[in-house]
Amino acid sequence: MTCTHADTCPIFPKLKGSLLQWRDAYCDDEAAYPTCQRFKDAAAGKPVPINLLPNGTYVGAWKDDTRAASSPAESRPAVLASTSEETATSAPPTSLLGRILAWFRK
Amino acid sequence: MTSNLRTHGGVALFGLMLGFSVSMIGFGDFAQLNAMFTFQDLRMFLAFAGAVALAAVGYAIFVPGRPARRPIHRGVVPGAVLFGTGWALSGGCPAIPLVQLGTGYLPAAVTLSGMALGMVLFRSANARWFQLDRGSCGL
Amino acid sequence: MSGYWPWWQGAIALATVTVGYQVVVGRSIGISGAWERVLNWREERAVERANASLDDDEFEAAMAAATAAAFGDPQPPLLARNSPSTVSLDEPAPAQRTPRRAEAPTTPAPVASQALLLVSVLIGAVLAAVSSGRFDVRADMGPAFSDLVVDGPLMWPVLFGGGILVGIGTRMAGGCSSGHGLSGCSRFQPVSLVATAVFFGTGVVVSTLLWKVI
Repeated sequence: MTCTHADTCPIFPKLKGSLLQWRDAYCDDEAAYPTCQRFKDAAAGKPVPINLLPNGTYVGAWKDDTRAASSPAESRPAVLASTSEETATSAPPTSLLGRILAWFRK
Repeated sequence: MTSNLRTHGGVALFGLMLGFSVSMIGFGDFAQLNAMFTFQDLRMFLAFAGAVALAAVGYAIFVPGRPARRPIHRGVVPGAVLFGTGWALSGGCPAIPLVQLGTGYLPAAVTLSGMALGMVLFRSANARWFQLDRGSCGL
Repeated sequence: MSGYWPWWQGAIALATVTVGYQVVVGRSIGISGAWERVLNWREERAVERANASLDDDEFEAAMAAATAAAFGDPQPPLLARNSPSTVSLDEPAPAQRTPRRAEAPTTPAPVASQALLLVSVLIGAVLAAVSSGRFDVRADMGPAFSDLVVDGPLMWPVLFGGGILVGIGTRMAGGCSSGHGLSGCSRFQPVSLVATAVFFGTGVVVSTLLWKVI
């Protein structure tokens, strides 16, 4: 039985050709799909970006500091560096005031 | 961008209609609400049931395709019980305190604060302990 | 009856909102979901920006690279290896893979639109109250509330507590009277039918207790 989220999952329809390996490893495997990072994040109530893959890596450069700051240590490699100008992000502000200012800027 | 305009325009239009209708039906009036729940006055209940029936027809005509079936996870029933209790006490499904406030009942702001707190608390609790599967990772 | 709409008028209005929202915005209406997302503004915006920053071609190329990185040499898909050579490798063999249902939008509505929704509901209510002469700024919840629930200063904790119950309950159940009640039930979603029945039923029980007992 396929993952119960497949009908609304934005990357599921893209998993064709050699990308079917993801379905073999996660979506179509009843024991494995609950281990998909998208599934786990959704169950934890977090909004899930399109570019999160089942194994926890992110497709394209991850551009947001807040998520990067809270992700586990073996964190998110940029699999394909985006060439857009949005790639350059400032380091996460660490002082309280800095964080408050950054919050308002967003 | 046109689709963004359409989204925001639609939201604003139907949001206004929702607030207007909910108020004009009487859901913001505690007396009416209690009368509905105690079956003394079925008017609002019929409005709701009629809306569901009409919307079902509307969906069948105007909206193609069937939605994915969402799971009935273990939070549905207890959650609904908590919600129903809170509703009977404070009059508020999450739109109703807004309607009450709009009618001038200032204490509804307190209801809204409680609601916000409850949602935030539940969010943490769910992330840490429950992990309820709501059936979607994209939406 | 006190000048409120007759039931059929209310039914038409709510049904129009429910279906109209779906048709124009492309997603079903849900007030508790709107609250939840607005309360989680930062994280929602971060994900929105991430989603918007990827264009389709870049994404497809990046996915191919990610797949190679995750699995090594591209292998023919497991089931296709055993299937007849006439089966195209691009499409999954239909009998073995669950087909995807009707198209659904792949991203949630922008969180700013959900904030707009809440504000619009408030404004709509103000318009309704003003136009029907019911607008009256006051610091209590009306005589019915005082009679049936509590009078005086106990009102504040009861409202706050009631609000907490609604906040926890709607998110635990995954929706409220607009999301489950109107949208879900009219689309015959089993979870919505169950949730609506339970919260209405509980409302009936508690209200009756308030009326008869307390």
